[in-house]
Amino acid sequence: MTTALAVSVAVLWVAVGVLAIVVLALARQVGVLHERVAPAGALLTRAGPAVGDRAPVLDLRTFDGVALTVGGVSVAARRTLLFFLSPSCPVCKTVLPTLLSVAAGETPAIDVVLASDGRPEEHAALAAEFRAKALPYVLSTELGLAYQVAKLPYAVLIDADGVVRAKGIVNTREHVESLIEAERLGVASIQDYVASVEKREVASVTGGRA
Amino acid sequence: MTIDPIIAAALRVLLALLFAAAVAHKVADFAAFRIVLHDYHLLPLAMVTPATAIVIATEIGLAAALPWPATGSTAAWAAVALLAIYSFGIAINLLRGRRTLECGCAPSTYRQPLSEWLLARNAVSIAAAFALTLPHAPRALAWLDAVTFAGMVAAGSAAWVATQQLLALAPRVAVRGAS
Repeated sequence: MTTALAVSVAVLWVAVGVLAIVVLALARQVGVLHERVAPAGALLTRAGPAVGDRAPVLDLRTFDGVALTVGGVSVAARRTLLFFLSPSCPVCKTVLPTLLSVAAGETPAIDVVLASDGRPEEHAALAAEFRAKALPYVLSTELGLAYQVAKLPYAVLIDADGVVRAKGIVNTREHVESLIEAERLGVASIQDYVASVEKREVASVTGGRA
Repeated sequence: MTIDPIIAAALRVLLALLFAAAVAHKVADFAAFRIVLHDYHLLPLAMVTPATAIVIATEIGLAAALPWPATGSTAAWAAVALLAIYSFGIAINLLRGRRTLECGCAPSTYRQPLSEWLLARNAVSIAAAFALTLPHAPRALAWLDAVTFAGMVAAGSAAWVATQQLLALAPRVAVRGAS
């Protein structure tokens, strides 16, 4: 039994050594990947109301004929995420699950409003899908013009006071989340955030040498 | 010098698994392995197809013979020889500076270009195979030996798969990091 124990312990030490090497190699690869992966964010465009401006107040009607005001101080003190889409835009559809999780899971809550324009019959199928999910669907050329939406899918985050907090072209979950993150951190866009981080890093390096 | 019977048993199974896994991907994609072997630029073209067949036959034979105590130590010498030939082929091509050459060590989903790490990994396998050629030191076995055996086989195979993954990822991490 003593020999069996000794053999067992020796084998365990070899295994610990091998695992330690594998963990070190993994840690190094994770470190390199972490350095390389830059934060992904929505692409900010200069057109339309700037971040920090009041959102234009528009009285609209949803696809189902219910009155809906976009912009202005929110009565329920909730933020609004405007999402511009089109039934003929495949990327828009890939972002939709993210919007559903934003509508359901953010604290404090966010009202998601889907916006598009064109003839109602083209939108009937898509609108029906969102009626089931209780998300308002608005057909309004006016809304698209107010925010000067040139490319889809496009999203605008308006805070409870009716101020535009973040906006941009959103192609992925990370892009949508970057808008919410940008509002939380008080930066206009992920581009601003990266620039400020780089400035801080440069400052800390030069500060350390001085 | 002698080797403990439980360590020998676990090493025999691990090496047999290693050759079984190696030959499985070669058989599954025979054409791809022929191209890899040709790319090593060690054999004249006419020899490549017979050599491919010999390598596959040898690996099948090793996988079948290694686990058994009766045939294990003879098979271990053959394994040392085969692994030494592989290392020789890799070393020559590393000296030629051909670092983009596909190793052919693993299924093509884990593409592994040649590197010194492959030589290090082969050296570990050769050491394991060489240990099996040593005479056994017989002793009374206890229940703990079953745990040692099972743990060694499980941890050894998992560590081997992890190494394969790391070697396959390493060049992608390094190359893109440099650019």
